[in-house]
Amino acid sequence: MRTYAGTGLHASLRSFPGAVLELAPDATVLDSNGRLERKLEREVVGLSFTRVLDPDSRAKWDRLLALGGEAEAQVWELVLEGREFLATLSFALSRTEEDGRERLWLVEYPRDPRLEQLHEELSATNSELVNTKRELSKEKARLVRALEELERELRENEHLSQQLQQQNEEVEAQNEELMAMTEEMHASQDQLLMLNQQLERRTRELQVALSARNRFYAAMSHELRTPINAVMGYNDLLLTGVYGALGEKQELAVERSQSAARHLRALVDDVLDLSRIEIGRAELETETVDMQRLLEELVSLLRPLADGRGSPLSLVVRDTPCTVVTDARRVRQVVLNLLSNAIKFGKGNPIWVYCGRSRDGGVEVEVVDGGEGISEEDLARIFDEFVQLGADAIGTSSAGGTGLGLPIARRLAEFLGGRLDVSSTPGVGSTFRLSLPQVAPGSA
Amino acid sequence: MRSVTAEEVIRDYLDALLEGNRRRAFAVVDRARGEGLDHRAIYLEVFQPALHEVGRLWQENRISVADEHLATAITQAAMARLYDDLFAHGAGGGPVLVAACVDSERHEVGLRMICDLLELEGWDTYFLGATTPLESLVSMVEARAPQAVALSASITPHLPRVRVTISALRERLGERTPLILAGGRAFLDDPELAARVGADLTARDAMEAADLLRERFPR
Repeated sequence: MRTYAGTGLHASLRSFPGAVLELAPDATVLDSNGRLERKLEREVVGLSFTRVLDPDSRAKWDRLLALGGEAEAQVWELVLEGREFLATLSFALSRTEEDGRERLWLVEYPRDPRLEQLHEELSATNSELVNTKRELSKEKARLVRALEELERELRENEHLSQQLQQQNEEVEAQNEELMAMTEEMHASQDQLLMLNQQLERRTRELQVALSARNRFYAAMSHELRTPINAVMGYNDLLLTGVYGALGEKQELAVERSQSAARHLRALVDDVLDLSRIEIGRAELETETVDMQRLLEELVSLLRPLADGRGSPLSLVVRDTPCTVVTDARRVRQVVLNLLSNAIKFGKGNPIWVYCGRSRDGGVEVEVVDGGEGISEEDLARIFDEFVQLGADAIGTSSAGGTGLGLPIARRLAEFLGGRLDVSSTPGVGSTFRLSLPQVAPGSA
Repeated sequence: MRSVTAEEVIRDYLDALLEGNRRRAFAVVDRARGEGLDHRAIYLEVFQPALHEVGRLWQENRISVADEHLATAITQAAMARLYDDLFAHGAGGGPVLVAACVDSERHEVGLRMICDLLELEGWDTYFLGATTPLESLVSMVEARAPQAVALSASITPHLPRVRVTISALRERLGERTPLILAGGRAFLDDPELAARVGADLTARDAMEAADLLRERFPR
């Protein structure tokens, strides 16, 4: 092999299937059998061999040179860079020296090209497999995440559903409560209806009873008046001596009888009056009434009586004119009753009558006495029938009277569309206030 | 936490690779995982230095290219075994990266590592693998509208293809062109090479690439 040095490559090496290169010690390619050029698709002769080596192989080349003779015992793989591709070639290295000129010989160590191809294919397949595995794993991770998301949503849905169910249950509970309350209400309503019916029945019964009572009063009063009138008539006849002169004792007895009969008749008249009002048989005769004139007449009528009791009677009219449309006879009846009471219970103290317009356009009449006054307990019942203060029973009144005066007065006031109230301070006196509307009801 | 050092694992793992024993290699990784090494540590402190060592051994003519390819294949398979775990941990929904080796480039492990490391940090990465045809890469980038594209070339003859790929992307996408990262062994000798082929950024290894992208697109 050494004989061809310096004479160019031996003919047999020119046809060698692998690459054969002759290099100078500085790695300049001096000659080539042309195989490498074909592989790399580039010229190599005249250039440095290291120019076709990849960086790793350049480092390997330096190592190879550094080893000296030791390098010749090994096969060296070098990666050569061609125009478009890399080629890993194995070389055997040998050195020659002739005439003081050192030469390096690289002879390619041929490998089975099928093995090369197989190797290439295997590594490509491996790479593809790894890549597929990578994509699969990524896809799997994505699926897992999607699944987790789905599960989370599912859980959330379940949670929501639970919440909904809970709310539903709450609503149902509320519903039941409401139903119970409704049932209770129905029950109360039924009870109320029943009570109402009972009340109505009672009212009807009461009305029937009242009307029966009033009819009874009216009838009885009328039936009573006739014999009382007869008693009084005969008493008058006796007193006027129609049946002969009466002795002093006889005359006193008849006068007592006459007085009792008069009282009885007044009582019957009052009862009659009351029942008339109650059963609605009384009728109003309304006209424009000058209250000042009406009160002046009453005051002058009763002044002698009041003076007799030592009670000065004074009238104060705050507003003039002071007129209302009402039934004068009934008003007179009420005020007369109030004044009689004031004189009766006034204990000789001054009595005042005030008259003025009320805020609603009507009239207020106040009768103020300085008597004993009425206790709170009694105030509640003085308008009840047959109640006489300071009396134990009917007929034993200390002040005399039927016990129907105030009840009748209040009913008349109400009949006239007004009202009768009382206020009193025990030991100071009482005030009765008659309020009348501007126009009595039922007036034309 | 770790009762085992990365150096011990590398030594065991490298032995398994040089033996060509994938089962043993997987067992070493499983044990390391059991001892508390996380994905990032296994990638950066075991796989990367082990493969560098394989390259060095080839340079010293102590192993052949076939050995080196086998070691790489085993490591890729070892990475694949971690994927279920790795992607399950990634939150997803982060920035998107499309990564590819230009045309006939076969050296894909480095790029795959960048993708996987970014996945760990919540990125959504599409690894198109070795020898991606130019047209399908451009279409993919157009469709996915990623925040970044990573291109890899390991030998100088592939540099022109990187330049062609980048200009095709810029021409097609104009304003919408994402950040372009170029790397690989071919770029290591000249730090300005990446800019000359039209890339925005370059990195010396997977860790630096992941760091740079994390800086640009903080979560």
